[in-house]
Amino acid sequence: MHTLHIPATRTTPEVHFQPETGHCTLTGVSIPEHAQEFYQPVIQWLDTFLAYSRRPVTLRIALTYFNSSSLKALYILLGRARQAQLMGSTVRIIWVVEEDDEFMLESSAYFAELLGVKMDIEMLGEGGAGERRAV
Amino acid sequence: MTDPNSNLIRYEGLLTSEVRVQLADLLMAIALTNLGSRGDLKKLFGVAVELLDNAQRYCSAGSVSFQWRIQGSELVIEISNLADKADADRLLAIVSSIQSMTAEQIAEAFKQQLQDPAFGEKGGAGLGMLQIARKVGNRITAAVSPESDGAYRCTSQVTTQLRA
Repeated sequence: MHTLHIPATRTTPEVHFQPETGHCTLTGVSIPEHAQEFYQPVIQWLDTFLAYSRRPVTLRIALTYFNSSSLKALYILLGRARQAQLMGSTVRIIWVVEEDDEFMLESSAYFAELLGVKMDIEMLGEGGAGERRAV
Repeated sequence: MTDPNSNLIRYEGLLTSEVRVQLADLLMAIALTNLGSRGDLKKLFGVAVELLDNAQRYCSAGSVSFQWRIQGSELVIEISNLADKADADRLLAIVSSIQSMTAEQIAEAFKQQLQDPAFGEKGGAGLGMLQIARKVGNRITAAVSPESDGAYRCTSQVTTQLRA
């Protein structure tokens, strides 16, 4: 299976999904005009990987901001991860939040409540140092 | 010190993809410079982005008018664009519905819409106005007026209190 790498733009995050390690990262800002189109190959890649590989997956989401259509696309992506968890796959989700970012914390709470998905929250301090807790 | 009544930004013209990106960059810079100590920048930026997304998605023709202005202790964000009748009616319906909701009802409506996996015909998630209301409350208005060419002029306005 190929590595999925989509470089960041001014409106879309960097996507780096690596089949040999199971490390999948989304990094940057996500305010595309058409979130569904942008996230479709990302969701498809994760679906395929989860269907054919037994390797544990770490999905690290480090977005500084996203618009509401990206939120729905992320909901769908995390829904797939949750389904895989329920089917016995090891999928660890790390949700990176900048210090005092209520919007991102609130969003993770919505995902946890609506999907029943467990996430490790990584709080970034001013220097970028991370502190983790689970929700 | 910011003027108690001032325009922070006013744009009138086509809302192309490039203009949308440039406006978003500019808004963040303006927010940092002018509102840094008076509001949650990410929330204010987010409201503007959602309104721009809506205008771009539903604009049927012509130019868009967008402005951020300070009125006393409040920030007013306004956007106006032409749309077809169905989209104009949908805007009025959602705003009218939000105006009568409590914060809890807004949160509940938002959750329900989030769980609907469908995107609209024009790529919208149906979450934009609810997202705005989640961020700044339900002081949202929408006005629609018919234009001579059969299109409808839609104007949405969001008002939020700034910190002293």
